[in-house]
Amino acid sequence: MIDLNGIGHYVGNGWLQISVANLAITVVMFLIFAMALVAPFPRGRDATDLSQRHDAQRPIDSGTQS
Amino acid sequence: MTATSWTGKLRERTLEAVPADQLLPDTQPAYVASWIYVFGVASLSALVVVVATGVVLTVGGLSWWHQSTLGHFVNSLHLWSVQLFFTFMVIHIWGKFWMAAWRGHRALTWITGVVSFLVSMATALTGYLIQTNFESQWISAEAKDGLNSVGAGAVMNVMDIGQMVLWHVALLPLGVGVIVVAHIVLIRLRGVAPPIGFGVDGNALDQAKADPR
Repeated sequence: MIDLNGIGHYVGNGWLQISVANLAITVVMFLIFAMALVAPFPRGRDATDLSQRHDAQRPIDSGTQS
Repeated sequence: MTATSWTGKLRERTLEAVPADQLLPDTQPAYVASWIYVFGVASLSALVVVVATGVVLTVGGLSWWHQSTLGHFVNSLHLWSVQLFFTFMVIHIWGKFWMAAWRGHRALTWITGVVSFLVSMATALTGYLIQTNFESQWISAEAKDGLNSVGAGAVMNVMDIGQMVLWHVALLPLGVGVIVVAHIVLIRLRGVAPPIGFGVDGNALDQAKADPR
């Protein structure tokens, strides 16, 4: 187990200084973000071409306007 | 519009802006079938746990978690659900930023999301301030200098634990709640942002229309 009651550990170079805990959670967030982009998403039983369904999404725009 | 009373007009305008069948949909466009679209509702789920455990801690009192193992357990649930809340929210913001999710008249959706993130940070700060331990003393002593330097110390005295408790359990959660509800209603109103170059029907747009500007 990691002792969270001890003195904090820091890493850095020059002006940059960050605690090991904050660095670890940042790296984990980047990893989760990257995995979310590439990991296959499970297909449910209703996985059909939703564009064929009139109630899938109200087509209010094309998603291109600013 | 046929209603004459303000309640009737409000009802009609609300139903016109957000039709009932858009509020709790059971289908989503095909492009939503990606893990990157999961982190918004993951943030919302973590927020539910944050609020629920916060309510229990409020009933127990400020120093309950120092004296009771149950209080300590609930405090840990509160802390770690907050960690997950911010982790999911940051990944959610990254995803929405890189897909330029403010396209298609969704600027207000983006703005309410950013504002809810900022108010959440203020809520987290006040949470750290009311731990009633040495850490909360240290953080409040440091934070007062920062807030005083920008002139906020006149209305927010971080050394006053009574004031900070009220900010943390009443004002700021109310602010987060109202903004998050507005954010969700706007998502239901405008729909989930499609990937760049695709329409809400999931089909690719021609290049001229696909310009995300």
